[in-house]
Amino acid sequence: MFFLLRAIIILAIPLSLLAEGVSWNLGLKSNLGRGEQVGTDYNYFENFISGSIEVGLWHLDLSVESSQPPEYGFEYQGVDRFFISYIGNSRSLEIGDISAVFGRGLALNLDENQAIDFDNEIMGLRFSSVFMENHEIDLLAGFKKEYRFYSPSSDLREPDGMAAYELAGAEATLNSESGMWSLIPYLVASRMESDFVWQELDSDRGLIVTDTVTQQMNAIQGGWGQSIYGESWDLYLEYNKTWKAFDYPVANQSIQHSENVQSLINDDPKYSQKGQSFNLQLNWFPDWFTTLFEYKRYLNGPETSSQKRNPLLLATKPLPWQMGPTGIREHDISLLGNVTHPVDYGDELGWNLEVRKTLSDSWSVVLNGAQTSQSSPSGDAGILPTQDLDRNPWQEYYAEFEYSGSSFYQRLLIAYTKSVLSGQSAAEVMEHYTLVPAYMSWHPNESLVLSTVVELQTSKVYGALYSGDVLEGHRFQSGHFIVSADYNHNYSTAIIWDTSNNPSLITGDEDIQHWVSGEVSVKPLDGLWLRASYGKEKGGVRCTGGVCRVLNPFEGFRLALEWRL
Amino acid sequence: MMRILPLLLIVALSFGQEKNLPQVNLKDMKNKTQSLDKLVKGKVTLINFWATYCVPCRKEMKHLNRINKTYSDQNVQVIGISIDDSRTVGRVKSIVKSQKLEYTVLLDTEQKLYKNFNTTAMPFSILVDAKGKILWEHTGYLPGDEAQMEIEIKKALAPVKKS
Repeated sequence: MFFLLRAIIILAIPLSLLAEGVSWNLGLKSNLGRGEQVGTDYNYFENFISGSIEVGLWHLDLSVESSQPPEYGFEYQGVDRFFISYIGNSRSLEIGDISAVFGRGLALNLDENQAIDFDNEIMGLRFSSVFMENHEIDLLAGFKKEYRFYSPSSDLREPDGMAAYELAGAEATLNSESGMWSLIPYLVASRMESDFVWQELDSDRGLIVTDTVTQQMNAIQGGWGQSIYGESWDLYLEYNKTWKAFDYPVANQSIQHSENVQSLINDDPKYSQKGQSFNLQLNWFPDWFTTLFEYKRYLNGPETSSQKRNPLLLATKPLPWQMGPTGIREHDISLLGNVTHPVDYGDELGWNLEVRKTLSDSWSVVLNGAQTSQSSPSGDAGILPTQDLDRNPWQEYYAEFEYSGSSFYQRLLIAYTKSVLSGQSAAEVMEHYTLVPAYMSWHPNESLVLSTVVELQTSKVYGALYSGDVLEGHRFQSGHFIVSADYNHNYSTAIIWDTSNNPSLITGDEDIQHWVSGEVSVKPLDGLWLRASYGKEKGGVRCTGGVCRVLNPFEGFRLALEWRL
Repeated sequence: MMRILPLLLIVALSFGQEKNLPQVNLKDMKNKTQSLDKLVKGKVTLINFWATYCVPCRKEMKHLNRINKTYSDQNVQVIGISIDDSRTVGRVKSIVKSQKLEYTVLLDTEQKLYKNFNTTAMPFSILVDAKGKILWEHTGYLPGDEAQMEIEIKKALAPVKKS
């Protein structure tokens, strides 16, 4: 069946391109290089051919992958993405790999990100329709056979667990005639199956056996988003609840020994779980500045730290498609990007306040502050984040000044970031002071652009016992430097140098490491880019040639090709 | 079968057809669905894909704002399309207001349109004519790119003036 489908698609593409009134796009992306994960080197060669064809109101999107292996994920050859859509005036229909977001994604965010090998898109069907001129309804249903789960702390190529799920959902968008507000109610029903470790009494043999079984979970999520628009402000609120039911209960299992008898104790077995999440975003934009205040309270399954580390316990974790706003800023500064806090959608409270002020045509300033933490482990979850060391607290404050003139650009930034990893009886605390004295580009003539990036960071890492004692730590320094030149918008070259000593509290030492690499990019034709890198690259956000990309660590030679036809 | 796919594609490309802007509905900043097709019909349109966390995109914005103002009486418009996903889309309005952008900004939160162009780079701009035909594409922003944009816009306007 799949062979037939593939054959039809493959023949349909070239034939349809020959037809009149057909529009198409085609692209090839290849990466050849050497990577490293957990001390293991490997070579990768990944290729994606992506094409789309538009015939009237119909659209076909097809992506074929041949990766042996890809930079992240498994070796794969075959169809990576297949999607057909019909977009009419008031109705649209989509079939294939479906990505969708309900509200701001607190309850449903089906997404694919090839750069980090993340894909929770479903194979299914989606129908959207406008009704009563101003309102919309969105219905979808589908399944995912293999969702790969990676622990937040894992950097292994192999996933920690797999899951299969089916889901169906409906969302309505109701807009007021005055344009003053909109309301977005939604409902999602799902069933997920994943591996689960379960101990049982084998009465025939009189033994307690440990099995990996398939745990089934049924979940319903319901909620709403609400936007209110004022003249110089707008407010977005979203709230939802999740109800889950399990066939195998989540319990602390223990074996009790007494005289000649072993008994299995299931302590506090839970066959169901409830969760909730809330997000608020307030924009205020009077004439002379703009402010964004963001607040989040994600309680989609608070877990103990041992449950969090257990990959064979997907049922109590947030659902794979529960990914709302981060509530913290995404950094384009490499050294700050490296210390950004990974959001825990299962249990996190936080706020972020950002103020932007344009001082003149060329000058602007941004001030930003953010805090997050886990909720209280007992009783009331609390409203605001805390900086108690046992709740993985995180905070960041920074100020940024930007000058953007006709031939010169300069950015100055200063930041303080404190992140804490809470353990059983102690926490590892990291405090980072970041200074970006130069993030500038100069355009001396029409053909040439010279740029430089200088980022400096001094950090302190130490341990703190919950009893109050502080364990001695050490300081470490990091630097990130880029010098680049672009000529005629077709040729670009850069030298990238990262330097740091080991930040680990346990193995920390004073040895300074260096990562130095060179990069050359050429655009021989419109739509074709070739980028070759050589050396040792630490990885992170890299802005060269007027384009920012997230690069993964590598050592040796790396070649990237991007061709759009 | 997979091996002959590139060959078939190359054969097909030798009979290449024109590229048109894909038909897609996107939300505006007030959550209303807009048909991009309808917005661009009848105007030369410079479409600029950007994201809140992209520095070159922000550098480019004031030039796009100026281009939008300068050429608006010649039936030219700029449309900004944010490709921020749901995790960062809440920051779009803050940037738009602080930069005092006067051109239309739409949200491609699911990257339905952006994925059509088979690129991962930002910013990314395309120029389409009044019938939705894609005339020019450009990746990245370096100082001076705005001059090239104006040259392309003038080229696009030339046949309009003749007719």
